[in-house]
Amino acid sequence: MNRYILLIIGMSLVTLIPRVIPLIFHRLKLPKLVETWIKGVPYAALAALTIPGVFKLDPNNIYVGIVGFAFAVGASILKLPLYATVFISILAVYGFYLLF
Amino acid sequence: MRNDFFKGAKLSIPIMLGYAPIAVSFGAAAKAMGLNYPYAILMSGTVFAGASQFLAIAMLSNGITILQIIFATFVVNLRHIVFSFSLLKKTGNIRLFKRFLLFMGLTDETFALISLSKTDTLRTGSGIAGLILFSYLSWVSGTFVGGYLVSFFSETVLKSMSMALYSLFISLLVTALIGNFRYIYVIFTSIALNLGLSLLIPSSWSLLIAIVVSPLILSVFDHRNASNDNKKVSNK
Repeated sequence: MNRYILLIIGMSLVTLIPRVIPLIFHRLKLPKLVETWIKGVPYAALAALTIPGVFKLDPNNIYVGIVGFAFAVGASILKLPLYATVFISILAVYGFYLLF
Repeated sequence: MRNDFFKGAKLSIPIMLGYAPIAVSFGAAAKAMGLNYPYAILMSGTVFAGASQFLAIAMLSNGITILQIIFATFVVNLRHIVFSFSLLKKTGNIRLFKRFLLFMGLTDETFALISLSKTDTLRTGSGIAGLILFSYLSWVSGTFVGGYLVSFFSETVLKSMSMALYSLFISLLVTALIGNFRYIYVIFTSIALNLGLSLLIPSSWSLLIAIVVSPLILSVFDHRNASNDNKKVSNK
């Protein structure tokens, strides 16, 4: 078989399996400690996925990420809806490129 | 039901905006690194995991063996086990087979919205289906476009649009924090762990460890509060 096809099949299997394997436990009653842990997972995940990644948005210029980050945090603190926050930070980054 | 599907699709707009430029870059990079066009689209369509796809084409062009690339993909995407596991309870009212299909489309971003968004739409199977399907379409069609038309988009526009995914995360995090500030400890622990460990080990591992370990701090707090309460009770 073509080696690229082999690669793609392998990659999709090792990506697919972690996504669905926890469903084995769908009937399991989880202890309270685990439920508390689960509540924290999205916070831990999003924090680690955002920092330091956002500051590497443009690997040649850290300020691009800083501007985007600042506008996104600012808009969120002002309780703007998700869409507005996303658009504002995109525009801020684009504006930064145009200006500098 | 149809209504939930369309609402879910609407919720995917920030993800679609963020995936499109990354997928376009992936399509273009795959072409530049010698992975033929149909393979790039096939990879986006079956793997649907950005970071590992970029890693794969970089490794391919460095002559690294297929098995090593598959192993690296496995490591990079291991965190999906945690994501999937943590959504079990939240999606408990959806039929198992349907959940199986939906979970195949879990990514950092779809997980982020399903777990932290407050809307009821994402408690329903149809809502999640709309969210995931449209995110997926953006990813695959972006790859398709990237192979052909990358010169059509300016670098600046693509880079600015990639900000969408980070601002999605930031908005969800800050909004959830305003509702319940105690998670700030988890956030700082996670960032510190991820940054510290990434100096010592590959970043896919540091990310995974930060995601698994930092929420434990909540359990520690709860335990301490519980035992304090017990003390108060016994003092009385």
